[in-house]
Amino acid sequence: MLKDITLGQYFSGNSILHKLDPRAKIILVLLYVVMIFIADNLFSLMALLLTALILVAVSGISYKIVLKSLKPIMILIVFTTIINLFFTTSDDAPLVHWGIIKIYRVGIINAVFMIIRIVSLIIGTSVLLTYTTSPISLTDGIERLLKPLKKIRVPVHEFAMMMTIALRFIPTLLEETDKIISAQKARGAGFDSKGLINKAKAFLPILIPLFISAFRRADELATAMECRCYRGDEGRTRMKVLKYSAKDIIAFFAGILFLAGVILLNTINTSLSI
Amino acid sequence: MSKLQLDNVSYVYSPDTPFEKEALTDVCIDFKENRITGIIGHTGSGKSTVAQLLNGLLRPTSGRVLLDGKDIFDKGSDIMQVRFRVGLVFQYPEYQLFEETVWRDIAFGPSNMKLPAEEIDRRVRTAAEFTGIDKELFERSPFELSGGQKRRVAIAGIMAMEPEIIVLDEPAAGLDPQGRDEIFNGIKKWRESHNATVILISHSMEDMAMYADDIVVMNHGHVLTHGTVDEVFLKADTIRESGLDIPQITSLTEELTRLGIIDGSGIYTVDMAYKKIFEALKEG
Repeated sequence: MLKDITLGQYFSGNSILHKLDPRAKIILVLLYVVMIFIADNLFSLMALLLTALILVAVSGISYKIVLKSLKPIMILIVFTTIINLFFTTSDDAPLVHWGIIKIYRVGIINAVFMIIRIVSLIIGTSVLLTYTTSPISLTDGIERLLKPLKKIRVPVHEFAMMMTIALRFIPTLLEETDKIISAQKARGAGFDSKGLINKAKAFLPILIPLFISAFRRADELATAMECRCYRGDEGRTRMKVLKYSAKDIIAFFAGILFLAGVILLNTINTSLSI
Repeated sequence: MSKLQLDNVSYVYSPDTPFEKEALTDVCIDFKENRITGIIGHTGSGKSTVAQLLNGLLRPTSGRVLLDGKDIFDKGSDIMQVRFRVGLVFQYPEYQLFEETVWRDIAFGPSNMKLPAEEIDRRVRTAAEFTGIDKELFERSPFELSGGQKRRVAIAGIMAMEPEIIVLDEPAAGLDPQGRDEIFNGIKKWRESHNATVILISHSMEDMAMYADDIVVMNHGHVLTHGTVDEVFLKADTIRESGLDIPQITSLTEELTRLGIIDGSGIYTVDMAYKKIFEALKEG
């Protein structure tokens, strides 16, 4: 069923990762991504992957779920591996020479590094951010971080509100789609017709009711917001004011120390580097 | 004779995920031919899951759904044909309308059955008549209609497939009393003229008392009791246990009977109570 999609899903919990300030997590994720691209030898990359896996354990989210989240990017991993394996060239003698296929040592190293990079990227960002931060506090964090942009008249609050609403309605609309599909199936709608135009036509009975209901919901939501006197950012106070706590400061320091560690590991002279 | 049968059916939503939820456990129900069977239960009791199992939209996790004694998921059986034979009207069916005109929306089901054009037209007109949709509305867009009219168009869309069994999930939810009566009476008349079997899902005991022949009471994915209206309402305690209530008027007449003012058991509608109390008053 459509509901089983885990994209950007939040798993509620009580771990330290759940309790960190969303702003701290966003900054740390950015730092982590930067580190992934700085890291250029096996030690530093392994350190990053290991950190991601430790964070999973800390968050209390089961490895099964994390593994499942890697499934959709399997194609990407396979594809980059193949490209790196077969299309990296160097001056050294190829390890395998078979017709036009030449595999070099550098190619293998590149491929392995790329796999580690992609996997750590996905696990690290999702466990640090999307799995452990509710969409509401995530957009809250983004809004606060982008606040300086307001000075140059970027409508930060409006963007954040739009994002919150969009995220909020993804599961609702998925459920609705499920229901509409079932209802039209009950009327004998077939989704297995041939030809592009017929295929597109077969989706009309789903798309039209879905759009109509999306517009209806938008309309109702706008009215409800106005009834509660929503008028944008001006003079708006918050129920939960974001505040950095000792945990966040510690997390920042850990992040910076870790960055230093990665840079240090990078300097280790090993033949396993690019 | 039983027309449609749930044979030891269990259903689990999202199995093997953190969201796993058992909706039905070992449910056995026989729906008798040519009767109106009401399924009643609290929110989350599994009534809507039953509806979707009956026409094969959901596949039972275990157990079988038997239509005329044959498993609908048997190898030889075509699930599409099952859906034409067991019509299902979803809750708030007006949200499934999509065509440009009312006529075309009602005709969507019959067209999917690949019927000849005259037959489709006849069926659309008959279904519209039973649901009380005026011919003048045929060329209008369904989105211009009122909520009650949209509901009727959606119900007509299923009736036009002329199924042997029609399952309606809360067909009167959110309608005013007049709208409910019109819809229920339309369904009743349609059933009589087509010799069809009707399965009504509702949580209103009053509606059930008025329109159903048999009642199935469900609670937490189990069948609590199943029988004729009289049999079920006699078990008032069992029904109250499931968080539902017998019709208010029945509670009242029970109390009046206890006080010796009238002699009334088996009164479920205001009309019945009215007659009984009127008689009692006349006798003085």
